Amino acid sequence: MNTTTSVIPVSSVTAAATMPFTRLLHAYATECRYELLRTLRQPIFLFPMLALPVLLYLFFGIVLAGPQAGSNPQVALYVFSGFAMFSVVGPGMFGFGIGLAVERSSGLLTLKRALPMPAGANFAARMVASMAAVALVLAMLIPLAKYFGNVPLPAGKIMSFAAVGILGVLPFCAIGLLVGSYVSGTAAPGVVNLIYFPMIYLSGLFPFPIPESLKTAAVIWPAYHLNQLALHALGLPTRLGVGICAGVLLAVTAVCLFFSIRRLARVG
Amino acid sequence: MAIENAAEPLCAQLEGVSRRFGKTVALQDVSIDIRRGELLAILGPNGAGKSTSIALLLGLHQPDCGRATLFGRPPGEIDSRRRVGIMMQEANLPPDIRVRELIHLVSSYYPDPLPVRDVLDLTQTGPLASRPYAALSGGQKRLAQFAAAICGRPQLLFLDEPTAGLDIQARERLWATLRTLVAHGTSIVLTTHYLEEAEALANRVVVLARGRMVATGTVNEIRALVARKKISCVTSLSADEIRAIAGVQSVHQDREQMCISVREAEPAVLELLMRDRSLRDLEIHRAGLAEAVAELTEGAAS
Repeated sequence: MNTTTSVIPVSSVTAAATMPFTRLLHAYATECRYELLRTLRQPIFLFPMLALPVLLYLFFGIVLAGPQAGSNPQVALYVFSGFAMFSVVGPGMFGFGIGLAVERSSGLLTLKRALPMPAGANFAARMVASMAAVALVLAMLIPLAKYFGNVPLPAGKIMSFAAVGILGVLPFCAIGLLVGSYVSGTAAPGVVNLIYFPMIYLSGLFPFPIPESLKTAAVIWPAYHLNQLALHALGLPTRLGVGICAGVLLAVTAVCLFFSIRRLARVG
Repeated sequence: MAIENAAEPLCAQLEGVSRRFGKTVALQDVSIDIRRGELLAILGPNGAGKSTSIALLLGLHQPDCGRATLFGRPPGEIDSRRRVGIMMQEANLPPDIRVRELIHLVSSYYPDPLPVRDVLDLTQTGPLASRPYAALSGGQKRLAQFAAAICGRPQLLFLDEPTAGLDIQARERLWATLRTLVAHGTSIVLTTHYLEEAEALANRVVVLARGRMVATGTVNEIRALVARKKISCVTSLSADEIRAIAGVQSVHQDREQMCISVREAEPAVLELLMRDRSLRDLEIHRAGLAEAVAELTEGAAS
Protein backbone atom coordinates (compact mmCIF):
# COMPACT_ATOMS: atom_id res chain seq x y z
CA MET A 1 0.00 0.00 0.00
CA ASN A 2 1.10 3.52 -0.68
CA THR A 3 1.63 5.51 2.47
CA THR A 4 1.74 8.85 0.74
CA THR A 5 -1.94 8.67 -0.06
CA SER A 6 -3.20 7.29 3.21
CA VAL A 7 -5.11 9.67 5.39
CA ILE A 8 -4.02 9.87 8.99
CA PRO A 9 -6.49 11.96 10.85
CA VAL A 10 -4.92 13.77 13.75
CA SER A 11 -6.82 13.32 16.96
CA SER A 12 -9.95 15.38 16.69
CA VAL A 13 -9.74 16.20 20.38
CA THR A 14 -8.49 19.76 20.40
CA ALA A 15 -9.13 20.68 24.00
CA ALA A 16 -7.45 18.75 26.78
CA ALA A 17 -7.55 15.15 25.66
CA THR A 18 -9.58 13.58 28.39
CA MET A 19 -10.02 9.87 28.66
CA PRO A 20 -13.50 8.44 29.09
CA PHE A 21 -13.73 6.25 32.19
CA THR A 22 -14.34 3.12 30.11
CA ARG A 23 -11.17 3.77 28.08
CA LEU A 24 -9.28 4.18 31.36
CA LEU A 25 -10.56 0.83 32.61
CA HIS A 26 -9.67 -0.66 29.25
CA ALA A 27 -6.12 0.69 29.62
CA TYR A 28 -5.75 -0.98 33.03
CA ALA A 29 -7.23 -4.22 31.72
CA THR A 30 -4.95 -4.24 28.66
CA GLU A 31 -1.88 -3.60 30.79
CA CYS A 32 -2.85 -6.49 33.10
CA ARG A 33 -3.56 -8.77 30.16
CA TYR A 34 -0.14 -8.25 28.60
CA GLU A 35 1.65 -8.48 31.92
CA LEU A 36 0.04 -11.88 32.49
CA LEU A 37 0.87 -12.91 28.95
CA ARG A 38 4.49 -11.87 29.42
CA THR A 39 4.70 -13.84 32.67
CA LEU A 40 3.32 -16.94 30.97
CA ARG A 41 5.72 -16.49 28.07
CA GLN A 42 8.73 -16.63 30.35
CA PRO A 43 8.62 -20.27 31.46
CA ILE A 44 12.22 -20.00 32.63
CA PHE A 45 11.12 -17.31 35.04
CA LEU A 46 7.84 -18.91 36.01
CA PHE A 47 9.09 -22.46 36.44
CA PRO A 48 11.28 -22.04 39.53
CA MET A 49 8.67 -19.91 41.25
CA LEU A 50 5.98 -22.51 40.68
CA ALA A 51 7.89 -25.76 40.63
CA LEU A 52 10.27 -25.20 43.53
CA PRO A 53 7.61 -24.89 46.26
CA VAL A 54 5.68 -27.83 44.81
CA LEU A 55 8.76 -30.07 44.64
CA LEU A 56 9.94 -29.07 48.10
CA TYR A 57 6.53 -29.67 49.59
CA LEU A 58 6.25 -32.98 47.78
CA PHE A 59 9.51 -34.10 49.35
CA PHE A 60 9.29 -32.69 52.87
CA GLY A 61 5.55 -32.43 53.33
CA ILE A 62 4.34 -35.59 51.66
CA VAL A 63 7.17 -38.10 51.31
CA LEU A 64 8.82 -37.41 54.67
CA ALA A 65 6.03 -36.04 56.88
CA GLY A 66 3.05 -37.56 55.06
CA PRO A 67 2.94 -40.91 56.88
CA GLN A 68 2.68 -39.20 60.29
CA ALA A 69 0.14 -36.64 59.11
CA GLY A 70 -2.79 -38.84 60.05
CA SER A 71 -1.64 -39.10 63.66
CA ASN A 72 -0.69 -35.48 64.01
CA PRO A 73 -2.81 -33.29 61.72
CA GLN A 74 -1.65 -30.06 63.38
CA VAL A 75 1.97 -30.64 62.37
CA ALA A 76 0.85 -31.47 58.83
CA LEU A 77 -1.02 -28.16 58.70
CA TYR A 78 2.01 -26.25 60.03
CA VAL A 79 4.28 -27.80 57.40
CA PHE A 80 1.76 -27.15 54.64
CA SER A 81 1.25 -23.52 55.67
CA GLY A 82 5.01 -22.88 55.71
CA PHE A 83 5.59 -24.23 52.21
CA ALA A 84 2.51 -22.49 50.85
CA MET A 85 3.63 -19.13 52.24
CA PHE A 86 7.13 -19.78 50.90
CA SER A 87 5.50 -20.02 47.47
CA VAL A 88 3.84 -16.63 48.05
CA VAL A 89 6.99 -14.65 48.83
CA GLY A 90 8.84 -15.46 45.57
CA PRO A 91 6.42 -14.17 42.91
CA GLY A 92 6.12 -10.87 44.78
CA MET A 93 9.78 -10.18 45.39
CA PHE A 94 11.22 -11.60 42.19
CA GLY A 95 8.40 -10.81 39.78
CA PHE A 96 8.06 -7.25 40.92
CA GLY A 97 11.59 -6.36 41.94
CA ILE A 98 13.59 -7.83 39.12
CA GLY A 99 11.00 -7.00 36.49
CA LEU A 100 10.96 -3.36 37.51
CA ALA A 101 14.74 -3.09 37.75
CA VAL A 102 15.15 -4.57 34.27
CA GLU A 103 12.53 -2.19 32.93
CA ARG A 104 14.36 0.71 34.53
CA SER A 105 17.74 -0.32 33.14
CA SER A 106 16.38 -0.89 29.64
CA GLY A 107 14.88 2.59 29.40
CA LEU A 108 11.38 1.14 29.13
CA LEU A 109 10.31 2.75 32.39
CA THR A 110 11.36 6.16 31.06
CA LEU A 111 9.30 5.60 27.94
CA LYS A 112 6.33 4.49 30.04
CA ARG A 113 6.62 7.66 32.11
CA ALA A 114 6.56 9.72 28.93
CA LEU A 115 3.65 7.80 27.44
CA PRO A 116 0.15 8.55 28.68
CA MET A 117 -0.02 5.25 30.51
CA PRO A 118 -2.45 5.77 33.41
CA ALA A 119 -0.59 6.28 36.67
CA GLY A 120 -0.53 2.99 38.49
CA ALA A 121 -1.39 0.78 35.52
CA ASN A 122 2.12 -0.64 35.49
CA PHE A 123 2.00 -1.43 39.22
CA ALA A 124 -1.53 -2.75 39.06
CA ALA A 125 -0.62 -5.07 36.20
CA ARG A 126 2.43 -6.41 38.00
CA MET A 127 0.43 -6.92 41.17
CA VAL A 128 -2.23 -8.84 39.26
CA ALA A 129 0.47 -10.97 37.61
CA SER A 130 2.04 -11.74 40.99
CA MET A 131 -1.33 -12.60 42.51
CA ALA A 132 -2.10 -14.84 39.54
CA ALA A 133 1.22 -16.65 39.97
CA VAL A 134 0.39 -17.23 43.64
CA ALA A 135 -3.11 -18.44 42.77
CA LEU A 136 -1.57 -20.88 40.31
CA VAL A 137 0.91 -22.35 42.76
CA LEU A 138 -1.70 -22.60 45.53
CA ALA A 139 -3.99 -24.37 43.07
CA MET A 140 -1.28 -27.02 42.81
CA LEU A 141 -0.26 -27.15 46.47
CA ILE A 142 -3.71 -27.33 48.04
CA PRO A 143 -4.96 -30.46 46.20
CA LEU A 144 -1.55 -32.04 46.73
CA ALA A 145 -1.81 -31.49 50.48
CA LYS A 146 -5.46 -32.46 50.74
CA TYR A 147 -5.40 -35.64 48.67
CA PHE A 148 -1.82 -36.89 48.97
CA GLY A 149 -0.59 -35.36 52.20
CA ASN A 150 -3.59 -36.24 54.36
CA VAL A 151 -3.75 -32.60 55.47
CA PRO A 152 -7.20 -31.79 56.89
CA LEU A 153 -8.33 -28.92 54.68
CA PRO A 154 -12.08 -28.23 54.65
CA ALA A 155 -13.39 -26.02 51.84
CA GLY A 156 -14.09 -23.01 54.08
CA LYS A 157 -10.55 -22.94 55.41
CA ILE A 158 -9.11 -23.32 51.92
CA MET A 159 -10.88 -20.16 50.81
CA SER A 160 -9.62 -17.97 53.64
CA PHE A 161 -6.14 -19.54 53.43
CA ALA A 162 -5.96 -18.86 49.67
CA ALA A 163 -7.15 -15.31 50.26
CA VAL A 164 -4.32 -14.76 52.77
CA GLY A 165 -1.83 -16.11 50.23
CA ILE A 166 -3.10 -14.14 47.25
CA LEU A 167 -3.41 -10.84 49.13
CA GLY A 168 -0.31 -11.65 51.12
CA VAL A 169 1.87 -11.38 48.01
CA LEU A 170 1.34 -7.61 47.99
CA PRO A 171 3.74 -6.67 50.84
CA PHE A 172 6.42 -8.70 49.06
CA CYS A 173 5.60 -6.93 45.79
CA ALA A 174 6.26 -3.70 47.70
CA ILE A 175 9.62 -5.00 48.99
CA GLY A 176 10.51 -6.05 45.43
CA LEU A 177 9.42 -2.66 44.17
CA LEU A 178 11.71 -0.96 46.67
CA VAL A 179 14.69 -3.05 45.57
CA GLY A 180 13.80 -2.59 41.89
CA SER A 181 13.58 1.16 42.24
CA TYR A 182 17.04 1.44 43.78
CA VAL A 183 19.25 -1.11 42.02
CA SER A 184 19.96 -1.95 38.38
CA GLY A 185 18.56 -4.88 36.45
CA THR A 186 21.79 -6.85 36.74
CA ALA A 187 22.14 -6.28 40.49
CA ALA A 188 18.49 -6.89 41.36
CA PRO A 189 18.51 -10.73 41.44
CA GLY A 190 21.45 -10.70 43.87
CA VAL A 191 19.95 -8.12 46.17
CA VAL A 192 16.54 -9.80 46.17
CA ASN A 193 18.17 -13.14 47.04
CA LEU A 194 20.07 -11.48 49.85
CA ILE A 195 16.77 -10.61 51.50
CA TYR A 196 14.77 -13.59 50.28
CA PHE A 197 16.86 -16.51 51.56
CA PRO A 198 17.45 -15.31 55.12
CA MET A 199 13.81 -14.31 55.35
CA ILE A 200 12.30 -17.62 54.27
CA TYR A 201 14.66 -19.54 56.54
CA LEU A 202 14.54 -17.30 59.61
CA SER A 203 10.78 -16.78 59.43
CA GLY A 204 10.43 -20.46 60.24
CA LEU A 205 8.54 -21.33 57.06
CA PHE A 206 10.42 -24.61 56.70
CA PRO A 207 10.37 -27.44 59.18
CA PHE A 208 14.13 -27.02 59.65
CA PRO A 209 15.72 -26.30 63.01
CA ILE A 210 16.44 -22.63 63.70
CA PRO A 211 18.90 -21.56 66.42
CA GLU A 212 16.97 -20.63 69.56
CA SER A 213 18.50 -17.15 69.60
CA LEU A 214 17.10 -16.44 66.14
CA LYS A 215 13.67 -17.87 66.85
CA THR A 216 12.55 -14.83 68.79
CA ALA A 217 13.98 -12.60 66.07
CA ALA A 218 11.64 -14.20 63.52
CA VAL A 219 9.17 -11.38 64.20
CA ILE A 220 11.35 -8.95 62.25
CA TRP A 221 10.58 -10.78 58.99
CA PRO A 222 7.37 -9.96 57.09
CA ALA A 223 7.12 -13.59 55.95
CA TYR A 224 6.74 -14.64 59.60
CA HIS A 225 3.71 -12.39 59.95
CA LEU A 226 2.24 -13.69 56.72
CA ASN A 227 2.60 -17.26 57.98
CA GLN A 228 0.94 -16.31 61.26
CA LEU A 229 -2.06 -15.04 59.29
CA ALA A 230 -2.10 -18.21 57.20
CA LEU A 231 -1.99 -20.40 60.33
CA HIS A 232 -4.84 -18.39 61.77
CA ALA A 233 -6.84 -18.96 58.58
CA LEU A 234 -6.26 -22.70 59.05
CA GLY A 235 -7.60 -22.43 62.58
CA LEU A 236 -4.29 -23.08 64.31
CA PRO A 237 -3.08 -21.32 67.44
CA THR A 238 -0.68 -18.44 66.64
CA ARG A 239 1.92 -16.58 68.65
CA LEU A 240 0.77 -13.13 67.54
CA GLY A 241 -2.72 -11.74 67.03
CA VAL A 242 -4.21 -11.29 63.57
CA GLY A 243 -4.37 -7.52 64.01
CA ILE A 244 -0.68 -7.21 64.81
CA CYS A 245 0.42 -9.36 61.86
CA ALA A 246 -1.87 -7.62 59.39
CA GLY A 247 -0.73 -4.27 60.77
CA VAL A 248 2.95 -5.17 60.33
CA LEU A 249 2.37 -6.28 56.74
CA LEU A 250 0.41 -3.12 55.95
CA ALA A 251 3.14 -0.99 57.49
CA VAL A 252 5.86 -2.78 55.50
CA THR A 253 3.83 -2.23 52.32
CA ALA A 254 3.26 1.45 53.07
CA VAL A 255 6.91 2.18 53.95
CA CYS A 256 8.26 0.36 50.89
CA LEU A 257 5.73 2.08 48.63
CA PHE A 258 6.57 5.47 50.08
CA PHE A 259 10.30 5.14 49.49
CA SER A 260 9.99 3.54 46.05
CA ILE A 261 7.55 6.12 44.75
CA ARG A 262 9.75 8.89 46.10
CA ARG A 263 12.76 7.33 44.42
CA LEU A 264 10.98 6.70 41.10
CA ALA A 265 9.60 10.22 41.00
CA ARG A 266 13.11 11.59 41.43
CA VAL A 267 15.21 9.45 39.17
CA GLY A 268 12.76 7.39 37.14
CA MET B 1 16.56 34.56 12.22
CA ALA B 2 13.50 32.41 12.69
CA ILE B 3 10.50 34.27 11.42
CA GLU B 4 8.03 34.47 14.28
CA ASN B 5 4.44 33.98 13.37
CA ALA B 6 2.31 34.95 16.32
CA ALA B 7 -0.83 33.53 14.73
CA GLU B 8 0.62 30.01 14.74
CA PRO B 9 -0.27 28.35 18.01
CA LEU B 10 2.51 26.54 19.79
CA CYS B 11 2.41 22.84 20.59
CA ALA B 12 5.38 22.88 22.88
CA GLN B 13 7.95 25.35 24.05
CA LEU B 14 11.20 25.66 25.92
CA GLU B 15 11.79 29.16 27.22
CA GLY B 16 15.31 29.94 28.31
CA VAL B 17 15.81 26.56 29.95
CA SER B 18 19.00 25.41 31.58
CA ARG B 19 19.64 22.02 33.04
CA ARG B 20 22.72 20.48 34.58
CA PHE B 21 23.39 16.90 35.64
CA GLY B 22 25.92 17.07 38.44
CA LYS B 23 28.70 19.20 37.07
CA THR B 24 27.79 18.66 33.43
CA VAL B 25 25.82 21.46 31.84
CA ALA B 26 23.40 19.66 29.53
CA LEU B 27 21.50 22.73 28.39
CA GLN B 28 22.23 26.41 28.79
CA ASP B 29 19.58 29.03 28.07
CA VAL B 30 17.85 27.16 25.25
CA SER B 31 14.58 28.35 23.74
CA ILE B 32 12.74 26.19 21.25
CA ASP B 33 9.23 26.68 19.85
CA ILE B 34 7.33 23.86 18.22
CA ARG B 35 4.51 25.17 16.08
CA ARG B 36 1.42 23.36 14.94
CA GLY B 37 1.87 21.36 11.76
CA GLU B 38 5.59 21.80 11.34
CA LEU B 39 8.49 19.41 11.39
CA LEU B 40 11.29 20.72 13.54
CA ALA B 41 14.64 18.99 13.37
CA ILE B 42 17.03 19.24 16.31
CA LEU B 43 20.55 18.70 15.09
CA GLY B 44 23.86 18.50 16.83
CA PRO B 45 26.71 16.18 17.71
CA ASN B 46 26.47 13.62 20.52
CA GLY B 47 26.14 15.29 23.89
CA ALA B 48 24.80 18.48 22.35
CA GLY B 49 21.66 18.38 24.49
CA LYS B 50 19.16 16.96 22.00
CA SER B 51 17.86 14.22 24.29
CA THR B 52 17.78 16.53 27.30
CA SER B 53 15.67 19.01 25.33
CA ILE B 54 13.17 16.28 24.52
CA ALA B 55 13.21 14.97 28.10
CA LEU B 56 12.33 18.46 29.36
CA LEU B 57 9.51 18.79 26.82
CA LEU B 58 8.13 15.43 27.96
CA GLY B 59 8.41 16.30 31.64
CA LEU B 60 10.93 13.50 32.32
CA HIS B 61 13.25 16.09 33.82
CA GLN B 62 12.54 19.49 35.27
CA PRO B 63 14.54 22.50 34.06
CA ASP B 64 16.82 24.11 36.65
CA CYS B 65 15.66 27.44 35.33
CA GLY B 66 13.44 28.59 32.49
CA ARG B 67 10.14 27.01 31.56
CA ALA B 68 8.95 24.04 29.54
CA THR B 69 5.37 23.73 28.33
CA LEU B 70 3.45 21.12 26.39
CA PHE B 71 0.22 22.37 24.82
CA GLY B 72 0.40 25.34 27.15
CA ARG B 73 0.53 23.14 30.27
CA PRO B 74 3.38 21.84 32.38
CA PRO B 75 4.79 18.74 30.65
CA GLY B 76 4.18 15.56 32.57
CA GLU B 77 0.44 16.17 32.96
CA ILE B 78 -1.27 13.11 31.59
CA ASP B 79 -3.78 15.13 29.55
CA SER B 80 -0.93 16.77 27.63
CA ARG B 81 0.83 13.45 27.17
CA ARG B 82 -2.31 11.97 25.62
CA ARG B 83 -1.72 14.28 22.65
CA VAL B 84 1.87 13.17 22.18
CA GLY B 85 3.47 10.18 20.45
CA ILE B 86 6.99 9.13 21.30
CA MET B 87 9.75 7.10 19.74
CA MET B 88 12.81 6.81 21.95
CA GLN B 89 15.98 5.34 20.61
CA GLU B 90 17.33 4.08 23.90
CA ALA B 91 14.12 2.46 25.14
CA ASN B 92 13.97 -1.31 24.73
CA LEU B 93 10.36 -2.32 24.35
CA PRO B 94 9.16 -5.52 26.09
CA PRO B 95 11.00 -8.34 24.27
CA ASP B 96 8.31 -10.99 24.63
CA ILE B 97 5.42 -8.96 23.24
CA ARG B 98 4.47 -9.31 19.58
CA VAL B 99 4.33 -6.22 17.36
CA ARG B 100 0.54 -6.33 17.04
CA GLU B 101 0.19 -6.65 20.81
CA LEU B 102 2.63 -3.82 21.37
CA ILE B 103 0.55 -1.49 19.21
CA HIS B 104 -2.62 -2.65 20.95
CA LEU B 105 -1.07 -2.01 24.36
CA VAL B 106 0.23 1.48 23.55
CA SER B 107 -3.07 2.33 21.80
CA SER B 108 -4.92 1.58 25.01
CA TYR B 109 -3.28 4.61 26.66
CA TYR B 110 -4.90 7.03 24.20
CA PRO B 111 -8.50 8.26 24.10
CA ASP B 112 -9.02 7.86 20.36
CA PRO B 113 -6.36 5.64 18.79
CA LEU B 114 -6.13 4.39 15.21
CA PRO B 115 -7.29 0.81 14.61
CA VAL B 116 -4.32 -1.56 14.98
CA ARG B 117 -4.81 -2.78 11.38
CA ASP B 118 -4.39 0.78 10.06
CA VAL B 119 -1.25 1.33 12.11
CA LEU B 120 0.27 -1.88 10.72
CA ASP B 121 -0.55 -0.80 7.16
CA LEU B 122 0.66 2.72 7.62
CA THR B 123 4.01 1.72 9.05
CA GLN B 124 4.55 -1.33 6.84
CA THR B 125 4.74 -3.50 9.93
CA GLY B 126 2.00 -5.90 8.81
CA PRO B 127 4.48 -8.69 8.01
CA LEU B 128 6.04 -8.26 11.47
CA ALA B 129 2.73 -8.25 13.36
CA SER B 130 3.05 -11.74 14.83
CA ARG B 131 6.73 -11.58 15.66
CA PRO B 132 8.01 -10.90 19.17
CA TYR B 133 9.82 -7.60 19.51
CA ALA B 134 13.05 -9.34 20.55
CA ALA B 135 13.13 -11.29 17.26
CA LEU B 136 13.15 -8.14 15.11
CA SER B 137 16.21 -6.68 13.41
CA GLY B 138 17.39 -3.20 14.35
CA GLY B 139 15.52 -1.57 11.48
CA GLN B 140 12.37 -3.57 12.16
CA LYS B 141 12.48 -2.52 15.82
CA ARG B 142 12.62 1.06 14.59
CA LEU B 143 9.47 0.52 12.54
CA ALA B 144 7.69 -1.12 15.49
CA GLN B 145 8.66 1.83 17.70
CA PHE B 146 7.40 4.18 15.03
CA ALA B 147 4.11 2.28 14.89
CA ALA B 148 3.77 2.60 18.67
CA ALA B 149 4.51 6.32 18.39
CA ILE B 150 1.77 7.12 15.89
CA CYS B 151 -0.94 4.70 17.03
CA GLY B 152 -2.56 7.19 19.43
CA ARG B 153 -3.22 9.75 16.67
CA PRO B 154 -0.90 12.24 18.35
CA GLN B 155 -0.93 15.94 17.58
CA LEU B 156 2.75 16.12 18.39
CA LEU B 157 5.25 13.40 17.63
CA PHE B 158 8.72 13.11 19.16
CA LEU B 159 11.03 10.99 17.04
CA ASP B 160 14.54 10.21 18.21
CA GLU B 161 16.71 9.02 15.31
CA PRO B 162 13.75 7.35 13.62
CA THR B 163 15.59 6.01 10.59
CA ALA B 164 18.81 4.73 12.20
CA GLY B 165 19.34 1.21 10.90
CA LEU B 166 16.65 1.38 8.21
CA ASP B 167 17.46 0.44 4.63
CA ILE B 168 16.97 3.11 1.98
CA GLN B 169 13.55 1.86 0.89
CA ALA B 170 12.18 1.69 4.41
CA ARG B 171 13.61 5.12 5.12
CA GLU B 172 11.94 6.62 2.05
CA ARG B 173 8.63 5.09 3.09
CA LEU B 174 8.97 6.42 6.61
CA TRP B 175 9.79 9.86 5.24
CA ALA B 176 6.67 9.69 3.07
CA THR B 177 4.57 8.80 6.11
CA LEU B 178 6.07 11.71 8.05
CA ARG B 179 5.27 14.12 5.22
CA THR B 180 1.69 12.84 5.16
CA LEU B 181 1.40 13.26 8.91
CA VAL B 182 2.67 16.84 8.72
CA ALA B 183 0.34 17.57 5.80
CA HIS B 184 -2.54 16.44 8.01
CA GLY B 185 -1.56 18.78 10.80
CA THR B 186 0.68 16.67 13.04
CA SER B 187 3.68 18.49 14.48
CA ILE B 188 6.90 16.54 14.61
CA VAL B 189 10.10 17.02 16.56
CA LEU B 190 12.89 15.00 15.03
CA THR B 191 16.37 14.48 16.36
CA THR B 192 18.73 13.03 13.83
CA HIS B 193 22.31 12.48 12.88
CA TYR B 194 21.33 12.17 9.22
CA LEU B 195 21.50 15.69 7.94
CA GLU B 196 19.88 14.71 4.66
CA GLU B 197 16.90 13.66 6.74
CA ALA B 198 16.53 17.16 8.15
CA GLU B 199 17.22 18.57 4.70
CA ALA B 200 14.49 16.42 3.17
CA LEU B 201 11.83 16.90 5.83
CA ALA B 202 12.33 19.82 8.17
CA ASN B 203 10.44 23.09 8.03
CA ARG B 204 12.79 24.40 10.64
CA VAL B 205 16.06 23.37 12.17
CA VAL B 206 17.57 24.00 15.59
CA VAL B 207 21.28 23.39 15.88
CA LEU B 208 22.60 22.58 19.35
CA ALA B 209 26.21 22.26 20.40
CA ARG B 210 27.48 21.73 23.94
CA GLY B 211 24.08 22.47 25.39
CA ARG B 212 23.73 25.81 23.66
CA MET B 213 21.56 26.80 20.77
CA VAL B 214 23.91 27.69 17.95
CA ALA B 215 21.39 28.49 15.27
CA THR B 216 17.74 28.19 14.38
CA GLY B 217 15.87 28.76 11.15
CA THR B 218 14.79 27.07 7.96
CA VAL B 219 17.18 24.70 6.22
CA ASN B 220 17.98 27.46 3.73
CA GLU B 221 18.57 30.00 6.48
CA ILE B 222 20.97 27.68 8.28
CA ARG B 223 22.74 26.97 5.03
CA ALA B 224 22.97 30.70 4.32
CA LEU B 225 24.63 31.23 7.68
CA VAL B 226 27.59 29.45 6.26
CA ALA B 227 27.50 31.16 2.91
CA ARG B 228 30.12 29.10 1.23
CA LYS B 229 30.22 27.90 -2.33
CA LYS B 230 32.58 25.36 -3.69
CA ILE B 231 34.01 25.73 -7.19
CA SER B 232 35.83 22.90 -8.83
CA CYS B 233 37.55 23.07 -12.22
CA VAL B 234 40.55 21.97 -14.20
CA THR B 235 42.84 24.92 -14.79
CA SER B 236 46.39 25.78 -15.68
CA LEU B 237 46.46 28.38 -12.89
CA SER B 238 48.48 27.50 -9.82
CA ALA B 239 46.96 27.33 -6.34
CA ASP B 240 48.86 30.48 -5.34
CA GLU B 241 47.53 32.35 -8.36
CA ILE B 242 43.97 31.38 -7.41
CA ARG B 243 44.49 32.40 -3.79
CA ALA B 244 45.29 35.88 -5.04
CA ILE B 245 41.74 36.25 -6.42
CA ALA B 246 39.48 38.36 -4.20
CA GLY B 247 36.95 36.40 -2.14
CA VAL B 248 38.77 33.07 -2.31
CA GLN B 249 38.90 31.47 1.13
CA SER B 250 40.78 28.28 0.48
CA VAL B 251 42.20 26.25 -2.39
CA HIS B 252 43.29 22.68 -2.58
CA GLN B 253 44.17 20.42 -5.45
CA ASP B 254 42.62 17.00 -5.85
CA ARG B 255 44.52 15.28 -8.67
CA GLU B 256 43.89 17.54 -11.69
CA GLN B 257 40.83 19.16 -10.10
CA MET B 258 41.24 22.44 -8.29
CA CYS B 259 38.77 22.84 -5.37
CA ILE B 260 38.13 26.43 -4.41
CA SER B 261 36.05 27.65 -1.50
CA VAL B 262 34.53 31.12 -1.87
CA ARG B 263 31.90 33.28 -0.27
CA GLU B 264 30.43 34.41 -3.59
CA ALA B 265 30.83 32.20 -6.62
CA GLU B 266 30.05 34.49 -9.55
CA PRO B 267 32.86 37.13 -9.30
CA ALA B 268 35.39 34.41 -8.60
CA VAL B 269 34.31 32.36 -11.64
CA LEU B 270 34.47 35.45 -13.83
CA GLU B 271 37.98 36.19 -12.64
CA LEU B 272 39.06 32.57 -13.14
CA LEU B 273 37.75 32.49 -16.70
CA MET B 274 39.45 35.80 -17.54
CA ARG B 275 42.78 34.50 -16.33
CA ASP B 276 42.51 31.06 -17.89
CA ARG B 277 40.54 30.77 -21.14
CA SER B 278 41.27 27.04 -21.29
CA LEU B 279 39.57 26.38 -17.90
CA ARG B 280 37.20 23.37 -18.13
CA ASP B 281 34.98 21.02 -16.09
CA LEU B 282 33.64 23.96 -14.09
CA GLU B 283 31.22 23.06 -11.30
CA ILE B 284 29.70 25.18 -8.54
CA HIS B 285 28.19 23.60 -5.39
CA ARG B 286 26.28 25.17 -2.58
CA ALA B 287 27.39 24.09 0.87
CA GLY B 288 24.91 21.49 2.19
CA LEU B 289 23.30 21.43 5.60
CA ALA B 290 26.00 19.00 6.66
CA GLU B 291 28.77 21.51 6.05
CA ALA B 292 26.74 24.28 7.64
CA VAL B 293 26.06 22.32 10.82
CA ALA B 294 29.62 21.08 11.04
CA GLU B 295 30.89 24.62 10.80
CA LEU B 296 28.37 25.98 13.29
CA THR B 297 29.00 23.29 15.88
CA GLU B 298 32.77 23.51 15.46
CA GLY B 299 32.51 27.23 15.98
CA ALA B 300 30.65 26.63 19.24
CA ALA B 301 33.15 24.07 20.42
CA SER B 302 36.21 26.23 19.93
